[in-house]
This record gives sequence, C-alpha cells and structure tokens, in this order.
Amino acid sequence: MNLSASGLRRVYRTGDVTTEAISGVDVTIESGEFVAIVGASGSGKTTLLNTLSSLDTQFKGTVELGEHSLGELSESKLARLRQREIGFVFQAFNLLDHLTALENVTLPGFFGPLDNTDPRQRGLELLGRVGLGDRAESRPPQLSGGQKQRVAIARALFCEPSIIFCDEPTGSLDQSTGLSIMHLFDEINRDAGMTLVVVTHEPYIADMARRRIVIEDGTILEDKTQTPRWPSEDDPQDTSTPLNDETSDQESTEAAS
Amino acid sequence: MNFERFIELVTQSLGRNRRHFLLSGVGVVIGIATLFFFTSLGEGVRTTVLEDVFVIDQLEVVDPAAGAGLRGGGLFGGGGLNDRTVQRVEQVPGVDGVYPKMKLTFPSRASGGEALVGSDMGIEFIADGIPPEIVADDAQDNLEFRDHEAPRSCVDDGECPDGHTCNGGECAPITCSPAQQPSDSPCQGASYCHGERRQCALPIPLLISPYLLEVYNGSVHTALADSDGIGGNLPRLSEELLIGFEFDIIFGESFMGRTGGVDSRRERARLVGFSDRAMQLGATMPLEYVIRLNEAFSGEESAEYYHSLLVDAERNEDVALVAQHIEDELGLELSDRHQQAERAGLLILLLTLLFNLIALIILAVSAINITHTFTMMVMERRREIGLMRALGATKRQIQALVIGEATVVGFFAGLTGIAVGIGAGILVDTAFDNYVGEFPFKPNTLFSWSPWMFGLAIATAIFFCLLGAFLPARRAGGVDPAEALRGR
Repeated sequence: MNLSASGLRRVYRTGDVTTEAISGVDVTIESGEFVAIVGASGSGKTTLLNTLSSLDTQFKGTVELGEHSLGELSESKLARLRQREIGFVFQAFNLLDHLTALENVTLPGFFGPLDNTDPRQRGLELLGRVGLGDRAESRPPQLSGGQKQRVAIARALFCEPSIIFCDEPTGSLDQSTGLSIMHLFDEINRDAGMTLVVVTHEPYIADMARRRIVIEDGTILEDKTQTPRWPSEDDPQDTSTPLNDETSDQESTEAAS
Repeated sequence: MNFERFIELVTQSLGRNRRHFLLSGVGVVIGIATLFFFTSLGEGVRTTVLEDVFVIDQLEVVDPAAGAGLRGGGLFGGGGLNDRTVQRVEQVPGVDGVYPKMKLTFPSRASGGEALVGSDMGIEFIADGIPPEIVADDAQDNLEFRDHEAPRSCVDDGECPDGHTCNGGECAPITCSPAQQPSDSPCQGASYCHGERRQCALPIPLLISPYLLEVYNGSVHTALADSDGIGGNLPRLSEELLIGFEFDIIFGESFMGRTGGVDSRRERARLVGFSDRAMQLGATMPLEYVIRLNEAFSGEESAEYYHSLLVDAERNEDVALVAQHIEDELGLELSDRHQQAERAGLLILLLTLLFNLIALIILAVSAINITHTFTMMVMERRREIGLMRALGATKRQIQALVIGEATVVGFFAGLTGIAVGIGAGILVDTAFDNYVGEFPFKPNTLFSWSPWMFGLAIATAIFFCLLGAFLPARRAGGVDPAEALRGR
C-alpha cells in the first residue's frame, strides 16, 4: 500500500500567532520501504509523521494511503483505517499500565472485527515473536524499557497493518537496547514486507534505513535512498559496517533471546 | 466493538479507577437510599391508610336524603336508592358490578359472649346486608355466608344443610325440642333448635370489618385493660378466636327502644369471617335476611330502598373516572370515606413527593459531582484516550466507554442505595415496633417494598450517572489523538 503526500501543509494557530510546521511537502513512500525521517528538534518531523499517519487530519494538501484520501474520509472510516492498515510505535511506548502485556497487545482488537482470529492466541504469538512469550501476564511497570517497546511493537503488528509509523522508537532506550529494537524493525520490514516510517534524530538509527528523508523548517531538505549501514557491536555510533541479512538475523535472534 | 469486548474494556477501566468511581458513586448511593426509603415509606403508609383504614378501592354510593333524615332516613331510616338506581350505575363506563347494601331499619340488640369473657353481655346491634357473592372469599367458617332460609331443592337428605331433611323435593327443617340435650337433639352440625319455632335452624351468618377488631384491640381493650369489673377481663381478640363465635340477636327491641306493633324475635347468629366490605361499626349479614327482617319489622316500603351501593370498577385505574361519572352525571353522592381516602391519599402522596424531591436534589448534586469527577478522569486519561483513537477507536466508541463506565457506576450505586434504604427502613421499623405503643391499625411494617421500586431506583441511579457523564463523554470523544499523544 503506497503512501503519498502532495502540497502538504500544516499550520498551528495560537491566538494571533500562526506557525507553519509543514510547508509544501511532496513525498511518496512505496509499499515495503524502510524510510527514516530525520531532522533537528522542532524541524517538523513528528508533525509530518502525524499527518501522514492520519493521527492529524487538520492539514492542507492531499495525503493518500493506497486508495484512501485521508482528508476526505469520515471519522469512523479513518478510525477503521488506522485499526486495520496502520501500526504505531511511540517513543514513550504508550502502554496502559493497568493492562497486562498480552492485553496491551490485543488492545487494537477491541475496536473492530478481526478476521477469524482468536485475539489471545494472536497476542501470545506476537509476544513470542518479539521475545516476550513468557511475560504475557506482566504489566508494563514490571517490564524494562526495551521490553515495553517490544510489547508496543507487538501491539502495532496485531492487525497486520500495511504500514508502521515509529516516532523516535529508540528515544527512551539505551543504545544497545535501541539497536535490538531496530533489529526487530528490520526483520519485520524484510520478512513481512511491511512499510516502515521511522522518525528519529539519531544518525545511527537513520543509517539503518534504506531511504533517508531530511526535514528542516517543515520542508524536505534531502530525500535519498541509501545502503543500510549497521553499527558495530563495540561502538553503536560507528555505522561503517553495511547491514547484511545474515548479521541482521543473527543479532535479532540474540536480541530476542 | 462487540459487546463482550466492550464489557471487558469497561471492566478494566473500572478496576483501574476504583477510587474515582467510588467517590462518584457516594452521592448517588445517598440519593437513591433517600429516594428508596421515602418511596417505600410513603407506599407503606399509603397501603395502611388507604387499604386498611379507608379501603379506597371500595367505592360506595350513598343517598344524601338518607343522611339528612328524609324518607325516614338516618340510622333507622330507608334510602332513596332502588333497583332502578342500581341499573343506572351498572351502565356507567368502567363499572364491573353494583351491589346494594341495606341497613336494618328497626331496633335490635345482641346478647351473648359467655364463651369469650365468662358471662353474657348485651349490646345494641347494628347491621346491614350485602349480596353474598361479593364476599364469597371472606367467609372462613363451615357455615357459609349465604341465605340459609332460602328455599333449597333436593333429591335426598345429603343435599340439605345440617338440621334439615329432604321432603317433597325441598329441604325442610327437622322438628325439635329446646329441652332436648344436644346429644339427643336432631339438630346436628351447625344447626340449633330454635326455641320459638321448635325446628332446627342455621344461625344467621355474619361478617364483621377488620376495622372493628382494630378499634377494639387498639382502643377499647387498651383502655379497659387494668380496670375493675368485667372490662378488666376482656381478652385481646383475634380473627381466629372470633370466627365461629355465636350469640343471640333480639330483633325488634333494643336498650333504647322497641318496634311497636310487632313482637320481637330472637335468632342465633354466627361470625363466619372478616371482610373489608362489612359494616365498619356493626355487623353484616346476607342481604336477603335484612330485606325480610325490614319487611317484617318496618313495613314493605323500607325493604324497597337501599342505603348504599357498592361499586366495583373493572380496573383500579378506572376508580377515579367512575367516581366522577357517578357524582357529576348521575347526581349521586359517594360516601365520606371515599373523599377522606382521597384526601389522605393526596396528603401522603404530597409528603412522599416532597421527600422524593429532596432525594432528587441530592441526585442532581451527585450528577454534578459525577460530571466533575468524570471530567477529571477524562483529562487524566487523555493520553490513554489518544492511544485508543490511534489504535482504531472511533469517537463513538470512546464516548460509549465513558457512558458504559457511568452505567456500571450507576447500577452498583443504585444497588448499594437500595441496600442502605432497606437497612434504614428495618432500623426505623424496629424502633417503631419497640418504642411506639399500640394503636388501631398499627402496621407490622411502615414500609412497602415493591418490585417496581427496585427498578425505579436502579433506573434513576443510572439516569443521573448518565446525565453526569454526558459532557465528559462528549469531551472524551473529542480528544485529538495527535495532541493527546504529544502530551498536550
């Protein structure tokens, strides 16, 4: 499912003051891509992610996901689209502390029908896939930051979406944990063919994507494909090692275990 | 969102916000307890006053002329209501049946009571007659409430009542001698040997009003309990003790006067039951006895007029309309008791409404409290709501979640309020029973708990919770997911 934006603008008004967070963005993301949106703090990258992902519909221009024009969909159809086609992973995890890991994972299933799927079975399957099969009944306060983000990833995968939007997914994690999370994303992108759009301000995370969009003052400064580079175990900031499938799979397995 | 999953989500949320929900529910519990307490108290008092004291479902048409002493009216006078009037009332829409009542129109006295108080006593006897069919269920004695002197056809003796034999296809009394010992007497069972007729006869069956028993136990017995003389020996009476009690009635003479030109007559009477339709200060016998006695002692004319007509409505809801029609269209008058009952009922209703108004004010304040608490909860849960929106929840689903939580709070607050209301009622009943002395119609309980009150209490609790949660629910539905997730 392709994602495209044309003439995208987003203006915030606070009293008499107007701020243009996104101005005239044109971008197309093909199905199955792994895209990193990078930029300094306040550059507009989260706003861009919110508008592309349908969380924010107060934009001008057009955003199309597959055959759906986000600006024209009714509130209920938009909600249905988010439930079925879009996954989210946030910097702050956004897990509900009063629910178990399994209940958090199955939360999207509360808001719409699933295709002949037992929610509990699917939730356990996904927790196993992110390496938390034995923590299904744990509540978020009992989990480490990395584990919380894995639960959030499992939740994002629950309805098998076409595209996953990640807003600073490693921002609350140490580098080594962040790396294992990125391994997981890479695996999801490669194995399931899901489109990944990751907003980050950390260069070593952006280096792992196959396409990098640099945004500054609400406009796209640079948009280029790249060869994913994987940081070394010793120094995560060193991204001189190109990512190859074998290394990726091995490290992802280690991280999950 | 299917219902099962919706309930799961509501339950999870309630579990998480127990303290908030408990605080929200406290006001509703107090309001519902107040509402339930006063509604059940009002209903209980109304039941006692209107069903036991005034008997409001019993509509009685009286002839105003009889009360004014016209047509020979008054205590011993005749009435202006006759069979034609009965037919007119029967045609009133909503009337199920009309039953004439006739008073004895000549002096009489009663004598007896040895079996109860140890020696015979005499008392003025006042009575009326009603059609037996309207009190068929009230007689509890073997001697039925019917005209035992009416001709009865038969084939053999088995079809005749006690002391009668089948003679020429009709039951006839057996000849007897009052001097005979009971064991030798042919008058067996309920029958006795009539001293003047020298034939077996059945006692006149009588019904009395429970009101009379209440007045005796609550006032007469209480007042005379410690007095010297026979009054101090009067026992407290019960329905069980009185049913089957026999005494003599002397028709045609009383302590205050006697009927001129006609010899008095002694007949035996037997109390066969209690009935709300019986005369309140006196006794009631089958109508045919009264007609025959009036004809014999007061002349034919007095046997043609009734003193009142009991009117049965098809449904309780029709009573007011029937009453209005009888008064306005037919120009007849209803008994004072009906008007008193209406006034008493109105007073009780107003008092109940007043206290329920207080309960509703408490509930309205509770609804404001709920609005405040739920608004706070929605604000605290903005991020959670934003997340749910991001995961596919629609505005309506978020609103339904808040409404669902309010419904559950209302349901349990309603149940708790009912329990508190019943508890308070039991406490009041206990205090009433222990600290308030005996009086006529003192009820066993002041409260009446009907199924509809439970439904009303739960529905009211839920209604006020929903009212309080309405605005917060709208607010929750309007949460912008992007802003909520950014912590704005």
